[in-house]
Amino acid sequence: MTAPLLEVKHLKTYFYTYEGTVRALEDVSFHINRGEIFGLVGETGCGKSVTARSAMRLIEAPGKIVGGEILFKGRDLLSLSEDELQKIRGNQISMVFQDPMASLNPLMKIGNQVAEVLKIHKKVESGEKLRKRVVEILRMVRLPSPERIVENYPFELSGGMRQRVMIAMMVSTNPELLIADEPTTALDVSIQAQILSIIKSMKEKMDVSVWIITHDLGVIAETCDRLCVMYAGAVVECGNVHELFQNPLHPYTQGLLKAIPKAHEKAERLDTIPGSVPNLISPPSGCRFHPRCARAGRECSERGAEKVKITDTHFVSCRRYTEGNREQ
Amino acid sequence: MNHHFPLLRLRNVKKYFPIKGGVFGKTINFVKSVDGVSLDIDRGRTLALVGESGCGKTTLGRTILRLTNPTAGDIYFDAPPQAMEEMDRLNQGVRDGYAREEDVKRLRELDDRYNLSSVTGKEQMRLRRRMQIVFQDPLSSLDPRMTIKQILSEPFRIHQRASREELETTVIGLLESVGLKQEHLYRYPHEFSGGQLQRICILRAIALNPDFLVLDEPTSALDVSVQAQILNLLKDLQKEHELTYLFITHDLSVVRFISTKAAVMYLGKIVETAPTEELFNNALHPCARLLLDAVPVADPGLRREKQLMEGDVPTPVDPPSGCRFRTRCRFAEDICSTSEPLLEEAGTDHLVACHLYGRIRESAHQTPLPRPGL
Repeated sequence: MTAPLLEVKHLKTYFYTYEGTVRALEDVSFHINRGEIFGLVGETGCGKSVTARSAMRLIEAPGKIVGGEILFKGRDLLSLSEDELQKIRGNQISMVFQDPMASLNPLMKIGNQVAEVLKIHKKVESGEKLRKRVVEILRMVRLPSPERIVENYPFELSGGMRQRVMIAMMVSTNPELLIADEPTTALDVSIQAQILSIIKSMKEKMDVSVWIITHDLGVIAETCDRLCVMYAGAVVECGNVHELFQNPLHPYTQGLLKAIPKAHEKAERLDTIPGSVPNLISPPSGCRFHPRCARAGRECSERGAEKVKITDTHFVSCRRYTEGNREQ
Repeated sequence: MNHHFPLLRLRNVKKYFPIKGGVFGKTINFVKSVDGVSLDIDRGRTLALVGESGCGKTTLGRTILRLTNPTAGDIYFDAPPQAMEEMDRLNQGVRDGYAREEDVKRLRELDDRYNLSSVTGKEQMRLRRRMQIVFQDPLSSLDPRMTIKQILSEPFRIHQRASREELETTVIGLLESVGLKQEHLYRYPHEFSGGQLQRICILRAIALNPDFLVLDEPTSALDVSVQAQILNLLKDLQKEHELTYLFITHDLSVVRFISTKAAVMYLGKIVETAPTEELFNNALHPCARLLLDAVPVADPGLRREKQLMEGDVPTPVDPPSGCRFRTRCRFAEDICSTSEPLLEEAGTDHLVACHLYGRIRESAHQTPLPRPGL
């Protein structure tokens, strides 16, 4: 087996606030293979975005990466100097955020913003060649009449178009990994479908691996090859999409899948997960899901769950599946 | 009482927002947010209003409640068929110019009683008590400086529905009915989670036992596990209090769960209405079909090639001529740009505004959404 493109090992990120230490990530481990679309899914506040930002070392005070390793092609990003990291960021790993309006400079024309990326990372000189390259990149994300759009300001574009500009900018440097943090959350379903199809075609054309972060299991099911489910700062289950959707093992994953209203079936009632997401300043002891888990035993509140291997690709962190408990 | 007639009837409702420009701030154009909508909403049922952002669904919801005044059109609330007939007859008379003075007076009387677009003053207050709204973002629709007790007492205070002594027990009763506790009474909105806040908003809306609720994307800001709780709650409340919902959403999977009937809106117009199951199995308007196709299905086994909706919603200031959807429709022909399609009956209770729906129905060998086992 070839080495994974990105490997996150035992990552811990804490935020030191007045109210106390928010233990946002507690021992998060997963990996992303070359050439795959990987999904990280979870509800608000479970630490998905913090994971992505930690991987790019974009955590700012009062947050701090307390421990763990982030191996990108075998090199630990946490041990690199800021200069070395700058060569990787934007160049080999790019990131698209949820709100494209907040990520684009409102005072710069679209063309100049895309050109800036090429100038900085690809050392392309200004001139006709750069201009042509910019138009070409915008055409790649299926923007209509890109020659005109380069002269527009961000406020003149719709949300979907702005997100396409963002994706264009991010793939223009030929990165090896594209991180998309809730890329379609602010968009309509019709536009969402367009954006996801562009991301998929980028993966094919540019040979880039994609890491999608979302709360929407529908998006995951339709685009990803493999995924991890997060709950309250910890990864609870990983597997390829087919395994995980057909045979969810962690009680949280099961609950989440049952809670989605399904467009392809009529349901009378939705199953719910009782309770709500815990406060991460004082997270529950042991398994962080145990207060909401119908099947929790006494030991769940005492000791955290270990990662259990079900198949070569399917892992779950739940005590019910450890040796000796298997029968239940 | 016999309640076999629709609770709400919209007739050609329009809402235009003026665009001011020039040195003198003259009105130079209009944003035609809602452009001639006619709909019936059945009592005790849920009508889902679906569409892309900017299609005017929220404006329509707000116009029904008179949170903004309609530019034109009639909104009849709880008007019995006899009154409707009489109003039709009188209106006809006024239009054709043979109405007598007492006819005009009688019409005004009926309008004041049933027509939300013209009621004012006391009558409006009386009708407003019977209709409420829940917004998308619960935190911004609750006053941050008011305790939950104050928030939930306010409707009773405004409409003078409970004495001071009764108030506390009533409010506690309300809270407990949705799984909140007495100890929450003196807390402020920022101390609650999104799901709890939305429950408080729903409580505030149903406090005075209304008949009709506009739910404007009530679960869009919530996580799936919380969304499921809220959707179940809304269904329970509907059964318990015989509520009528107008459920505004862009999420079609929620539509199938919550609604009995659905209306698809595009650029200020209704393009298709049908019973929900009929819409999901047999959508006819290309816009509705594309929307259905775009819904992500949470089952990797059902992955499929999607028909993508091209481009973005055109501006409602200057909508395309003829059929407004034609610029994004792959079936579009010459007729679509020259004449505007009207809503036609395409099946039982199934209306569609498309010139070509007959052909689309024939060519549709597959339903827009795959079903398990197919």
